[in-house]
Amino acid sequence: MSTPTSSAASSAASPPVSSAGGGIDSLELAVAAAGRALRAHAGGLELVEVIEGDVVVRFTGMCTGCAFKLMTMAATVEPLLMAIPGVRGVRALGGRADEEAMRRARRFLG
Amino acid sequence: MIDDIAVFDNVVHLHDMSDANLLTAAPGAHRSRELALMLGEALRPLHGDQTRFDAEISVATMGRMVFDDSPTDLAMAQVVPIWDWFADWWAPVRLQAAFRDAYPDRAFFCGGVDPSWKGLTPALEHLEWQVRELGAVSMKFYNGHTDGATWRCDDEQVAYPIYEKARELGITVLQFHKGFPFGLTPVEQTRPNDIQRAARDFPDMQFLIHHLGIPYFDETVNIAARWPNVHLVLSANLCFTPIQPRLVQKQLGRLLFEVGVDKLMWGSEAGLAGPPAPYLRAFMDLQIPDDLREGYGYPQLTHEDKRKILGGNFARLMGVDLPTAPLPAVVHPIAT
Repeated sequence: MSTPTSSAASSAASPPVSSAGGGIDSLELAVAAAGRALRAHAGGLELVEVIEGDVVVRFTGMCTGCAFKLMTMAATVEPLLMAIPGVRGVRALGGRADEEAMRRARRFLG
Repeated sequence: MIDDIAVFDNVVHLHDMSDANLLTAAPGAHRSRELALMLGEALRPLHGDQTRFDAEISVATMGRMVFDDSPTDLAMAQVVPIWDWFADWWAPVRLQAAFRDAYPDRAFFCGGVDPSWKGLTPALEHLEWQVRELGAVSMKFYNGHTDGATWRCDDEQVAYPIYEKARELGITVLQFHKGFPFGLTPVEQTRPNDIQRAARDFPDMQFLIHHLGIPYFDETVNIAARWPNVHLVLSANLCFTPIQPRLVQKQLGRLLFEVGVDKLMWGSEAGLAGPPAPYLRAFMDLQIPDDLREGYGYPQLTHEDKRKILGGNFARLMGVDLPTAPLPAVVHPIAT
């Protein structure tokens, strides 16, 4: 499971993440931090690409087939990545959840 | 095309359930054929096609079903090496290859071998012949059998040499019948769990599980979600859409949620399922209802999802370009 693009917490005024502004470095650090957190569950996270501030990640390890990815995305991955200036949305490769379900998860967990 | 979507049918079978092909002395032969025929008859009111199923499905009949009577652009004819009850197997090599020969611009040939038929070495030789001489571009396996003939997909001595031979011949898309036990095959022989180690050990090859492994749906979903090179063919599964839409909505919702749309593919199972047209129309009209979205978090099934499922994903795996406009009518072979 993965999620649709999250834009709820993004700022429309934020510029896209760019290497010129050091955003990529910060983003990679944030993905690594999220990955470390997921290793407690024998999982992980990889950065796939960034397109105009929309970040695409891939769950790895045990996270790939975990039915709780929605919660992991809302509680751990999104908050860490959306805190990076210029990040407008986050989505993971693979399955996706209904946007309303993601909103609920963010409300309770994010 | 259906609406603006190109259709690449992963699986059609030109079966031969004629008396001449039935191994009447084999235990369970009549009952196994009867069960298959009952499935075909159950779907007949949906499509109304009058083709006799207790016979050989001819090349022209299949061509009419998929290319004239249905909005199918491309179709893959797959061998079914069920040798337990049929002398020339349930869907013979010669018929599937002949279908590709008759419609070379629209049809593909998926071969099939079975190491428990005459042994591993003949299976390897058969595989090579089907690829080199007949132009097979994929291979189909039915490892579940009766009476001790079942082989495991992760057997290093029996299965792995077949995958290695396929790889050597340039075949990277391997397909497996899982679930939906054929005839009197014990259901547990069709469990999909033995795909995992094979997928791990052959990461450069793509493993396609058919029928959602039903009744092992939970395992199948988990396996496809975890292994990047495991994909799911909804062969026959989407044929339930006009009859049991709720069932399909629940299955598809969960697949979109856990596995992801990029790993799902359409397969019609024509000719036993008849012309695919009514199933395709029902699928195009299908949506994930609000209560499933609210209750389970399943996403809506979008038009782009349908484009991927009906052809985009399989075309990507096979390296095939899909048509962008309706194709001209096919010319059928003259029956002999």
